[in-house]
Amino acid sequence: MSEDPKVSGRYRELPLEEPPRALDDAILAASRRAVRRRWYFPVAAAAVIVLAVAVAVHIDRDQPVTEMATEAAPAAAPEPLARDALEQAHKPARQRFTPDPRADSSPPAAAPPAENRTARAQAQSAAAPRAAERSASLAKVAASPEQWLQGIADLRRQGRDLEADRELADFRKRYPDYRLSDEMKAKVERRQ
Amino acid sequence: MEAPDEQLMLAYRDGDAGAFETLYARHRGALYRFVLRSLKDRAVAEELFQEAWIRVIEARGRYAPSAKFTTWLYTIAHNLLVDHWRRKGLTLVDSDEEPVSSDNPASQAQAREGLARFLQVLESLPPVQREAFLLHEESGMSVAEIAAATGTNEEAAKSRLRYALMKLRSAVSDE
Repeated sequence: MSEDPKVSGRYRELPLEEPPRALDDAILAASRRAVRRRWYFPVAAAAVIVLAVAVAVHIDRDQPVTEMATEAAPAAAPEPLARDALEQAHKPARQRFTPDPRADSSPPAAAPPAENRTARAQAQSAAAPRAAERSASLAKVAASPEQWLQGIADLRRQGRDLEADRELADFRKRYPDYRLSDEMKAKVERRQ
Repeated sequence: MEAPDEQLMLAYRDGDAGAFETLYARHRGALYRFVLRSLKDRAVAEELFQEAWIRVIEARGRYAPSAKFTTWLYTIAHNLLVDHWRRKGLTLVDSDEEPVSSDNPASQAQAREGLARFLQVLESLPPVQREAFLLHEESGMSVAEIAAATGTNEEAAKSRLRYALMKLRSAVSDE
């Protein structure tokens, strides 16, 4: 095909129109978003899991594991209690968190709202294995049997009977020959 | 040595955002002028220009370098123009009609100026001829590439370009 330098030259004299800057930015932003989307969903899924775990841990720390399991558990049976807690955690939620019928007859102010109970129960179920881990860590931080007993006494004083029971059972396994004074017994054993 | 367009597009397909930026910088001006001078309406031209690039972005996963990148890019733009003209009730037909002279007196006065007259003749070309000329000038396409990008055969593409050049030549030689 025959070229025409004069026509071509005249065309080149026309203003060199360019797309506006905002249009450039919009298109380039879209191109970057499209590439990021390739990684977005796996990363977002991982972030959601991390967030869920973080929230569960946070709730667990804010609400000590006390009342719910203590109420239902037999008094001085630390080991079965720990096992129960683990079993609780593996049961379906509907079985685990049957509301206490007594709560229904209590005044509204005394019973936590149903949503709160559920949230607490869920947090507790997720927390049960972690409570056991926490107890184990108490043994680790105690430099001596006396310190360990003092820690158990502190738990008992704070009303954290479930954890105190578990700690005491662990303590007795670790130090089967250790004789507790009456005074210490009064501090670390559950009151009947 | 600069990476070929096709290689950049493949790199973008594989997640390299920088490759697209290079590709965009290389073709943005020519594609913009092609669309703008095909339409004369700046707002619509900008919309179609953006849409063409968005389609490139969206189609990146299916991109395979079976043809030149520019042929693919301008095919997308051509299809958008055809859709636009169809929506406006216009059809693209081969035409050897004389350029439509503007009724606007101001425009006619401007046409006395060489460059303005050239632009007026360009704007008044039948769309398919103008498109063939713009593809040739802006993207440096051969007749075969113009045919591929506009979905026609080489004879038709050659004829469109020849008529466009003939009319524009008259605008240059009249001065």
